[in-house]
Amino acid sequence: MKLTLNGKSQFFDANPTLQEVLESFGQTGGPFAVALNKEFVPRSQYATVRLNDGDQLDLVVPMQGG
Amino acid sequence: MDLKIGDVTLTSRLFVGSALYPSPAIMQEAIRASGAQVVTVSLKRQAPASQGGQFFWDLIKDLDCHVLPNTAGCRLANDAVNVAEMSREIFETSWIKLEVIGDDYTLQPHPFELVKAAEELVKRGFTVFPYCTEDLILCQKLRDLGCPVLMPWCAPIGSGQGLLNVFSLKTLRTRIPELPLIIDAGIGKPSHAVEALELGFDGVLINSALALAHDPVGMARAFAQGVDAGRRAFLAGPMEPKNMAQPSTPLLETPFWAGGGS
Repeated sequence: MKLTLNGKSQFFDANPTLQEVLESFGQTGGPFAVALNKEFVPRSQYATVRLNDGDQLDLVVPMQGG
Repeated sequence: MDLKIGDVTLTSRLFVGSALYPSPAIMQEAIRASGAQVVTVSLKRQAPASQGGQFFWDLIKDLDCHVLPNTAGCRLANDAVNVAEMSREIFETSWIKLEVIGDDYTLQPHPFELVKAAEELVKRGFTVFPYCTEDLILCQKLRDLGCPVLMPWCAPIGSGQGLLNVFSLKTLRTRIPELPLIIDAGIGKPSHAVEALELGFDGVLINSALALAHDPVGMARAFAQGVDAGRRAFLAGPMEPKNMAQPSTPLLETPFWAGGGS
């Protein structure tokens, strides 16, 4: 199945959890947050939310702002 | 001289941004020199496992300021709400500087999407600092929705033009005396900050004016003094301007008195 991660296509086995996708990129700690199809997903739900073909995943981190 | 926002009391009326500085070290030094206790930050998409976000966040935490995340780049209420939620989780604060832009050329806030987002975020328990225009009705609506502070622009973001519409800003101050009003965008020089504070505004938020100065640290010190001077002047009550000269030296019985004086 295909996911769009921060604007780039990525391919995964069928319906991984969000936690599994993040771990596959080594993204297990640090300051970041996730939106799935433009909707915020709380960290507490990473292990239970399953992803589907065509989903759009955005990972954000802190940056400078005015 | 303190400024209270919700249950937070601030001794500095200068809010500063963290963007556009020549280097991270100068950013830290300038923010410290400004004496600001509130610093704005933002979010960006970044490749997983990159350490850039951690590095920046450590720099900000080291400043020991209140963090005010923004929703820069959002054009729709729903996007702003989701960015606010992500910010709350990362930065562990319910404060949010709500930016919903309606025009790419002026970066003018979109009043209708702004109101929609503010209403939802207040319901979700956020402390909403809305970046808005000086439009009185919009500001009254944001107040009525439960925003504890308003952040009107005085000129377009990053323009450094100062207070372009003094009449409307004065009107805003007069008609909304009960909320802190922080000028958010358009300040370019310490004299602009002095003017805003003299008019009774409670503070200013600056970023480009510091970061793009030849000496950001020196400019930060100048802004700190400007904000302090403006607030003191407001509290002291400036004299009323007059149309004609009024002699300051009592004239009666001065030597060679002939009806003039200085």
